[in-house]
Amino acid sequence: MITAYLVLFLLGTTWPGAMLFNHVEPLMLGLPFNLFVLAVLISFALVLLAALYASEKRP
Amino acid sequence: MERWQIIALVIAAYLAVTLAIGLLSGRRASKSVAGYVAGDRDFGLLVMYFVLGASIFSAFAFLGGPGWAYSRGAAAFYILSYGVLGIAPYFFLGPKAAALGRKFGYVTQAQLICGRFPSRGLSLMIAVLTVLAFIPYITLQMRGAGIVIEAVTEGNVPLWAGSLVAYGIVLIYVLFSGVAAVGWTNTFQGIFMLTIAWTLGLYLPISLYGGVGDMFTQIMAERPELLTMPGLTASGAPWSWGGYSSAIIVSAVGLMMWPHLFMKAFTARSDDTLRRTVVLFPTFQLFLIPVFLIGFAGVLYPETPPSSDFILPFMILNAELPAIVVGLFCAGALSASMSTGDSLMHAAASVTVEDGIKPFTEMSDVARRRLIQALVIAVGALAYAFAVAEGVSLVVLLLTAYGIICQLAPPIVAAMYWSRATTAGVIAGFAAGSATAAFFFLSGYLGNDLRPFDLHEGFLGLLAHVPVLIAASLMTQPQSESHRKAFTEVAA
Repeated sequence: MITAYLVLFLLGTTWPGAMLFNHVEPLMLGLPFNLFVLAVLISFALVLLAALYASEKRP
Repeated sequence: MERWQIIALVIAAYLAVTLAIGLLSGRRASKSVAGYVAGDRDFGLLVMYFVLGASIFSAFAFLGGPGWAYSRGAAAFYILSYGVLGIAPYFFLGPKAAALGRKFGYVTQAQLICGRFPSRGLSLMIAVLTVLAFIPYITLQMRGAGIVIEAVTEGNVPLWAGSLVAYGIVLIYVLFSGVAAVGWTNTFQGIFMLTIAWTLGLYLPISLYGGVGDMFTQIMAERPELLTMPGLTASGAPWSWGGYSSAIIVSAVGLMMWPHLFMKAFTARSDDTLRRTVVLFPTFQLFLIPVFLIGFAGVLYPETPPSSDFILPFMILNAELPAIVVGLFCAGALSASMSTGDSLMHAAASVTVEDGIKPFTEMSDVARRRLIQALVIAVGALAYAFAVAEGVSLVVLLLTAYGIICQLAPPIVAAMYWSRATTAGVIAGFAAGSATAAFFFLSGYLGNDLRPFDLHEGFLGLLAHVPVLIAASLMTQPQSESHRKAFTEVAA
């Protein structure tokens, strides 16, 4: 799950995946759209890592 | 009292607190090498979190980050992207490395590699290359500290004096307290930096443009090329996707391979601490966003700083803030430089002794600890000499350093996960990777750039490294069953 997301993250932040959301408008929370998408991707990674940690705690 | 004197006083007070924390933290640590280099393997979550966080918030992120956003626009987004990719594998690698460290008594990553693949030559090669990669990195941190102090004191404290005072203090606490001082000062400095990054990152766009959204709308109207990836190169031409993408990959692979970070696996109190640190790490990436906002705030500012690296102190000085606030902001920028620099100096000296000298001569624990301390001084002095001498090529050297450091990743992964890997395979792969990276770096440096698609030379090195490692390993005798199992099957 986390591995799959990391592959997705890599494709999404480099060429050519990053070209999909590479525009400025609409501004989200005041940030350009591409910067906002990166922030969302990072936040989601945080949630996934936390879930992975929680699942390892309960064997 | 003049304005710059108040600022200097605030900075001096901040430096005094840092020194006190650094000296006090070392009193508990044991006097052994394990105590000095690995903190008796007793770092808790708070300290581990900030030790890793400080690595992201180095002078590069705090001065270079805004500088990139200011002059190269969206190119700076690559700094955001690589952190998550780089840290996540450490969720598995970190605890495993820590388990091996406890089992065999390792305190550096070359010891781990050479424990699985016994070769004194390999140990020496890793030691030399890491120290080579460290020197420009430390030099940049020192220059960063000097730049901040010189800028805010209006030149009354020149760069050489500023660097000397800031790093004199770092030297004292690293010498007396070892890695314990690095951990606790980073925690103090980390909290300081975060507060400052957010305050300034939100204050500047609001006071200058009326809001973050308004700022980007205006930049979009006047400089739209800055806001789409991959942004611009240092000279202002559009950057290539190949360069942008491979910069992310090389930085992600190299991130945790920096010895000062990887070695912290041996300092954590428990595997649980390591895992929780990894989980929380992406929060530091999000903290970088306000740092970029500071840089973007300078884009449409009528005046320009002497160079893009000066954008942060420049914006602080021009924001018409009270002198005490300016002093605090600058202390935050100093934190960024010093919290990375202390780790680097400590690790460079530890690696030299543990991997470059110890395999060749018998030395007592006390003698090794003394030698590490002597080398901390030597490394610091050397980097300081470079820092005060003008040198443009240092930034170039730092980028190459990442190319060298990421060549440590395949041996580490092979040592812990691939039982068929052999000593000959690892040496051949490491040599091939480093040579390839060096070749493409030199080709660009000598003016005849041979890199396909503008790819980073470290990435090209990895492309040569991995196949050679695999092929040469398969062609040589496998290691004995018991030896392999001791490494690949250790419970993480």
